[in-house]
Amino acid sequence: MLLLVFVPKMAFSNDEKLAKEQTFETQESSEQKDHDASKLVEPTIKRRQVDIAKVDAEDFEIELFYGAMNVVDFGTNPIESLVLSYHVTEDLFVSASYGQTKTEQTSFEVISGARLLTDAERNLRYYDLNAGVNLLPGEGFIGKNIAFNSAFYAVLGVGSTKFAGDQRFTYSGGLGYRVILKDWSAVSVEVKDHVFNIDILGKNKTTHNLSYQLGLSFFF
Amino acid sequence: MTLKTIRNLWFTLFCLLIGSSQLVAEEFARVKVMDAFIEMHTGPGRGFPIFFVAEQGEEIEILKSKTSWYKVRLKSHKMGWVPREQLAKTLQLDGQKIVIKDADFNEYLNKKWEFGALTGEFEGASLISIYAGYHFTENLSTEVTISQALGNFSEIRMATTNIVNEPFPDLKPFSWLPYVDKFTLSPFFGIGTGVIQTLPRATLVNAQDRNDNLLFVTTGAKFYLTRRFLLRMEYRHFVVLTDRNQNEDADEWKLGFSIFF
Repeated sequence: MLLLVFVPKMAFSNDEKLAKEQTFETQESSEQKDHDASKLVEPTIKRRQVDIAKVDAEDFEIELFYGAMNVVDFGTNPIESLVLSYHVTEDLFVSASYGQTKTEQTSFEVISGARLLTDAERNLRYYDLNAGVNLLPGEGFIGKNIAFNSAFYAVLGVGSTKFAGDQRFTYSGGLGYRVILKDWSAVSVEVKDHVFNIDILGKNKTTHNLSYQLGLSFFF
Repeated sequence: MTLKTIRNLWFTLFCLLIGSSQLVAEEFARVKVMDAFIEMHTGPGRGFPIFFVAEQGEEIEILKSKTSWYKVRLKSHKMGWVPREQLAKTLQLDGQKIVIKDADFNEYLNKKWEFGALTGEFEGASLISIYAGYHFTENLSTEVTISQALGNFSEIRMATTNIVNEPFPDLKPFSWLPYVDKFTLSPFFGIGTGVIQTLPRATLVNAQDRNDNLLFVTTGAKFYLTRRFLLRMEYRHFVVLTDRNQNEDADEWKLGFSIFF
């Protein structure tokens, strides 16, 4: 109010320059006043802070595999497995896998007619925990215009194989090639060696059992 | 059920499958490029080629992330991936800096959950164990572990729980040396209890399954590797409380990886 009284008083002043200055000052003051008034109403909307840690992360991958597995002395048979991976960096990942296959009779059993295992014991089930590394990342071309991003990978791990009535400590190592179809999906081929000891044919021996599989995976 | 209900049901199912995010316009974080330009790759990795550059002043939306790569969308609807370091060259629309937790080392100190898998030896048998841990403070945590040890004569299964103290969570023993000055480890000590089940091998005759309780002390160290990765080394000494005349002692050594959140 005081300012309003002040403005007309100054307008009558002969010194125009001074008047201008004063008007400017009053304008500023009224602005100040407005500002003060706006301060009374505190903004309730919180300023949105961009935090990239809150961006939706797709570091997990679930993979379904199907292929064949050779079990030493017990033939090569279809295998299916499920792998869950967590990608720690673009190069490193950890994974857990579970797989199962049914084995067939050994040559000895076929010839002699003897049976070494019951039907239930003939089922092979394994799980393993792996650390993996992506190798040679790059682009692969199909024809001239279609390109897919791809990488080789290697995994190394330990696990357990239930076969012939016992759990067997298993070392596993594999090599694979993964082609990224979409941000959220990939296909891979993988060859894996499952190394475990087996003693059912008399002597305790270390066997290398190879599986080769084709998989489809989803990132989430 | 009327045709309409069925149709609605299908629509709901369809929505669920597609993911509600696609139907409801999702609001993504928007930032502005402050550096001369940022490079957009076709995929989340250095092996993927750069196909576009977003210029200074351009507005970008951050859609999602994979490891340390972020998928961004330009106003022209072009989409590509940029590494975390490049996002540091952007600002929020109001000029504020965006929050980039530099290295996950801070998160390592403030971790809440820890999950890991280890392998080693339990009384001569090959051991595999997985664990989950919860941190109350940076010094105090609790853990639950499930283990399987496979020996020549038996399979051993264990479930244990323990309390862990980490007196020096960010010990840097080589801080005075170049190159390895950032090497961080955290020694730990703990006590715990659990159950142990011994299953003799199928090839052994007349052997019986046994269930016992156990107590143990544990010590080891965690080494910070990168991002959310830890290397963990652990030794445990067990006292198995048998119902026979004497209790049994057992030792366990193991080594493995953990991730934390």
